[in-house]
Amino acid sequence: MRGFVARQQEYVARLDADERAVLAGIASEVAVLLGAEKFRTAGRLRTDVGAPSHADASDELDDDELVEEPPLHALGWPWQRPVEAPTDPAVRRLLPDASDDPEQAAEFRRLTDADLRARKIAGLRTWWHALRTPGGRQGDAVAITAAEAPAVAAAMTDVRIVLADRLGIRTDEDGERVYAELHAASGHDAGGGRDGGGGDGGEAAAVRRAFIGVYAMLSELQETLVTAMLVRVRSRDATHGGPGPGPEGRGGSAG
Amino acid sequence: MCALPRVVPVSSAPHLDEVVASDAQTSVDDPWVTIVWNDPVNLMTYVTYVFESYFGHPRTVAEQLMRRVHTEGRAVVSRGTLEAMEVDVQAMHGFGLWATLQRSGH
Repeated sequence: MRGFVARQQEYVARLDADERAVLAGIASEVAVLLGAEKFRTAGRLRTDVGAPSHADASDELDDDELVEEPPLHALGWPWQRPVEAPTDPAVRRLLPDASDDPEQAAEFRRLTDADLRARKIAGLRTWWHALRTPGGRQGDAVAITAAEAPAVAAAMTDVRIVLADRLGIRTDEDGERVYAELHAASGHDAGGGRDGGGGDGGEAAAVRRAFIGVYAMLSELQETLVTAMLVRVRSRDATHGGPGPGPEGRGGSAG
Repeated sequence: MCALPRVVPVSSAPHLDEVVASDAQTSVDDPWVTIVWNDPVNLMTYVTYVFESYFGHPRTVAEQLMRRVHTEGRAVVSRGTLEAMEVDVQAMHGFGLWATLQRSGH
């Protein structure tokens, strides 16, 4: 993996096929948690050998339209009914209570739940799509356009929130311990442990280490992406002679 | 919140009621506030980015706010009408930040 760097109107990272597959799979899983259909490409994969000959451009367009379409509940119909708070703690963190007043929290959820889910799913899909369509000479360049970057950075947060929940990260200290585990594990693996012969928990521990590795990789990708985005935000502000609202900002600040 | 590669521990967040007393400049025109809470996942860089890009804060203000979230467990990030705060909280949730709204003052 190589983190994101700015290139013209894009941000580009390098990720090998395994890394792209794992990250795309998890992005899709998080979208499913938010109520989406599992992400898929209609009838074919880019990497397929001997893809069906009818898989032409119009198929791809149909697929994009299919997924871009807002779910029915985003059209406003169920607004008359209360929206239950998610029971999965990770989803609850993605869509948290907006107030400690239960009535106000319920009202906020009723008004915003569908829109927030739809936007998060769209961002996850953008990230997923970038991972599935690498380019560059080596075929390992994952490119995000400047316009896509805010939604992708948010999607990375959403995926990391779900991973953190599954890894039991509840406090900053937990987060620190997880990174320590990763460093300990990488030191351990350097010895060439093939089948967990060290007696450190076998398969479950190996799976946990793998997920910690993905969490750390996403953290690094998000850090490099956002750092590059900040350079752009700040140079734009400098050009305009001072701070201004972001592209999706709320306008002038009170300060 | 965490900084790569090291995560800095922060004590647990106090109750919502303590927040406004400590840092809101209450006015009758701004009866509501938006509060962003610390969490163990979001990167300091990302929280700073959100405060710069969404609220249009200059870098120094955005970093100060980010540090307040990190060290105090939460910070008031905007003030205004209930409707305006609903918009801000929804935006924060869209960014993946943990935000709540409450009445300013008491």
